[in-house]
Formats: sequence, structure tokens, C-alpha cells
Amino acid sequence: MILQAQNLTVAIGGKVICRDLNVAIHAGECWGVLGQNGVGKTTLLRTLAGLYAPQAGGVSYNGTALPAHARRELARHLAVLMQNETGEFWGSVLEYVLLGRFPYRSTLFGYSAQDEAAALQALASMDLAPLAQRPLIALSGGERQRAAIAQVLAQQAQCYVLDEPLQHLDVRHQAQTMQLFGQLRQQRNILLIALHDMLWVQRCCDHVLLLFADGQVLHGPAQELLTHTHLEALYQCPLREWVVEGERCYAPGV
Amino acid sequence: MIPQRILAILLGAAGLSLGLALLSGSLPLSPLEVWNALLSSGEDTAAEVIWQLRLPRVLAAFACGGLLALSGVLLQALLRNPLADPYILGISGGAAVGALAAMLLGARLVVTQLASFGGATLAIVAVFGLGFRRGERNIYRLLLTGVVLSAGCGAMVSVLLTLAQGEQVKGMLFWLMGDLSHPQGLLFAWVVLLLAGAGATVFSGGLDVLAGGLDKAAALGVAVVRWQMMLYFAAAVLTVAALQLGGSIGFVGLMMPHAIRLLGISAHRWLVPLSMLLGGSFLVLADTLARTLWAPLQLPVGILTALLGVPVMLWLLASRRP
Repeated sequence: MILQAQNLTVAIGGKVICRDLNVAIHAGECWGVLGQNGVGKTTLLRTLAGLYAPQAGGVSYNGTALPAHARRELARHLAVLMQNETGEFWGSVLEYVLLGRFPYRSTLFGYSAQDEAAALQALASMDLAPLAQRPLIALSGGERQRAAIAQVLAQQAQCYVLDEPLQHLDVRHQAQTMQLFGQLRQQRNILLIALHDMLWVQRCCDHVLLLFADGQVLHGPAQELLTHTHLEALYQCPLREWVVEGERCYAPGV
Repeated sequence: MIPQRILAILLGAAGLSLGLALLSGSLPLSPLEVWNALLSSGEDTAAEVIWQLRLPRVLAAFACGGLLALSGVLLQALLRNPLADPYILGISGGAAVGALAAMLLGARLVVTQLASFGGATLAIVAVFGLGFRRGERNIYRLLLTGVVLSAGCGAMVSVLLTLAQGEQVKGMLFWLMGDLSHPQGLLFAWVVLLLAGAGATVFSGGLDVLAGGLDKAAALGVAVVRWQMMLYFAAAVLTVAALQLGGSIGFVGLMMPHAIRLLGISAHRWLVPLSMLLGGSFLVLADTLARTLWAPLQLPVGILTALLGVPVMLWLLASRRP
């Protein structure tokens, strides 16, 4: 299993996000995508998930270009978590999570018992089982984010593209979510996560992709790239670093 | 409430409203006489009244209500907006300008209907051509284009009303408020209603996913652009069929889907058929009242839909637990 960008050039609104990017993501790897607000993390992730057409080059999954895959078939392999996506959904939390089973749904008979079971299991893993029958719009921001994550988990894909999965989550659920992602990685899935928290990047990501404000892109093993110098350049902000039990912590060092 | 129970209740309500509508009218008929008339194709007065007058009108009312409700469901899903109704994209505006212009020129009924059909078609093409962009992540452009065109049509309607004289004005007002006394294209309307209703129920999974977000829908394997185009044109055909039956009858298309949602149903698998049933029954009831309350005077049914619907909707909204 491999997700691959070849000579990828992505631009949006006249701004070039990356030029001639070549990167291969293999089964069992977890990649962190880092960069300042507005630098293009979301657009790059959308491109890598086949939701945005690149200016040049392309993205392939298992050797086949994304647009050449049958849409529903691809959705069984590749799941995407987007930011602020729950907007106008009127149904219950369970119905919302069930949408993640759409790629498996039969047209005539609707969702199967197996789909329901997958949705309920995903709900439980995000501590949402007691809220299953509540309207989605009645949930708090953090709970809604957990419902969105549960929906992605219910999709049971092999490749996960996750745009800021930790937004709105409290510490406990951040840990729980990242632990779940860690399990997915151990099961030889691909994960590609936009993150802002350096601690989680260090703990969970074996590779990183850094999008600098000047358009430069660096990618490779996290060990090599996550240096103090790189991070200060990445966020254009002086950082103080300390090491606590082997983990490096960063804070703005004004 | 579980959807199966709502379905049973609504089927009962549909039967009751149809029966009541067939019983009501200037010629008093007992239920038995109505039943016998329905079974016979005889030449007596009762059979003639039922087959020539009441049944076509009742069928027109039911189809019109179902078409408007379904069109409302589809547009609310397409535009991701709870305020969307069959008229929001300017289709009824175009139809009104066509119909009223024909009336002003003294055209016959058939010509008026054709003109309204032409106006609606022009509006559909104009709004789609100007407002739809492939792959746009929000669909506000389409929505606003429709609203702007509607406003323009509203102004044209005012001009036509100002220019009209005496009796013409009354005919125009009836058209604008919705009136089921001259239904056109009944067979077409039923074919469209049944086909679109079955299609929307079968493909309801895609409608649910679209409600969860366009990018999300694409990521889950829905061909978003194809769906948007299909929804737009399906809603347009439904609306045109409804306009041909009864002019622009308000309230039904906007409110029937919300009434079902307030009962706790939001999955389109149920929302589609239940809204259609409720819309059909509701319009049959409203039309029966419209033609009997002040008999022999007939009221435009659009007035009744609002007078009946507003208190019920207000009660549903107020009684729903937070």
C-alpha cells in the first residue's frame, strides 16, 4: 500500500503551495503536516485525498492515479477528516457517523447490521455511545469533532488523511484520539495528519512534511527534520526548548 | 416517533382527506353514492360529478402537494439551507411573469399555461447558467442568483398587475396565490411525482451524505457535481409540474419537510416519502376547504395552506423539546 505524489504542483488563488513535490507514503507510516495558518496544509491534504485538482503532477494510490479510481471504491480505502464540516446536518449523532459507511451501503437496502455495528463501535471508541440518539447540532464543539472522527473511523479505510483532528478536543480526548491513530498505524495503515502540537508530532509521527511560509517544502524522517532551527523558521517565531524525560517541549520564547 | 408509525398515520390521513374531498361539494352525496359512482362509469349525475369534477381536482391537489414537498426536500438538500423552497430559485417568478403577461394580453387558458411553462424554463436555464460552477465548495452563488432573479420577477409581476384592469387583476391574483381550479398536465404531474419520489427514496443515501458537506460527500464517494445537477433539474421539473397544476401555492414546499423533521425524522429514506404524503394530504384538505368554506365562492388555495399551516407549524415549533 502506497500513497504517492509525483511532480506535484499545487496552487490556490494564485499562491503556490508546493512545486514538483515527490513524496511516497508507505503502509504503517504516520506523517505529520506542519506549517503556519494559511500556508496551505488543508489544500495540500485535499489534493493528496483527490478532492482538489493539482496544477501539475498527480497523486496515486497503489500505483493508480486517484481520478482513475472508482469513487466509492476509493472511499473504502481512503478516509478524510475535514475541518468544520458538520454544518447543516439535521440528524442524530448515530446517523451522522453512519454516513462513514456510505461507501459500503447498498443502494436498495440501505445500511446493513454490519454498518450499524461499525458505526456504534466507532462511537464507543470516541466516548459518544450515550449521545448516539441526540441531534448532532445539540453537541458541543469538542463532541462534534469527536463525532467527525468517529465517522472517519467507521469508514474502516487503510489510508487516513486528517486535517487538524485535535481541534476543540480536551486533553483526555486528544490522548485517546492519538492513541487510536497509533493503533491504526500499528495495523499497517497510512496516516497523514495536520497538527500544531509539537508534542503529539514527536510522539506519533515517524515522518513530517514541513510547509514553510516562503514556499519551501521539506519532508522526511521526523527525527532528522524536527530541529529547533527548522521549527523556528517554520513558524517564524523564536522558540524556547526544554527536554523533559526525553521529550522536547516548545514554547514561544519572546 | 418511529417512522413506520408516522407512515401508517399519514397513509390514514391521506385516505381520510381524499374521502372527505370526494364527499364535499355543492351536490350533496353520501359516502355510498360516492363509492358507487367511483365503481361505475355510468352517465348519472353523481358519476359525472365525481369523475369529471371532484376526482381530477382531488388528484391534482394531492399531486401538487406531493410535488411541492418533494421539490422542497431536494432543494433543501442541494442548497444546504433550511429556508430553501421550490420558489427560491426563481422558477415560480419566471412562471408568474409568463402567465401574467399572457393574461394581460388576453390569451386563452392554454396559452397562459404555455407562457408560464416558458417563463419557468427560461428562469431555470438562466439561474443554472449564471449561478452554477462545477466544483465550487459552497453553493451560495446558485442560491443568490435565484433570489436575485426572483426579486426581478417580483418587480415585473408588480408592473403587470399595475397595467392590468378589472377582472384581469382577479385572475392574476388567483394565479399568484395558487389555485387548483384549472389544473393542467395531471398525468404528467403524477408520472413525475411517482418517478421522482421513487428515485429520491432509492438514492436517499446520497442526499444524506450531501447534507453532511460537499467535500465530505466527495470523500465518501458521491459524484457531487452530477448529484447537484440532477437535484437542480429534478427540483425544477417537479416545481414546473406543480405550477402547471395550481400556480404558485406557498408554504407547502418549505414547511412539509420541516414538519416531518420536527417529528424527529431526518434520514432522507423516510423524509422523502413522508413529506410527499403529508404535502399531498395537506393540500387536498386545504383545497377542499378553499372550495367549500365560502361556497359557491372559491378562495385561492394558497390562502388556506397558510391559514391552516401556520398555526400547526407554530405549535410544532413551540412544543418541540429543546
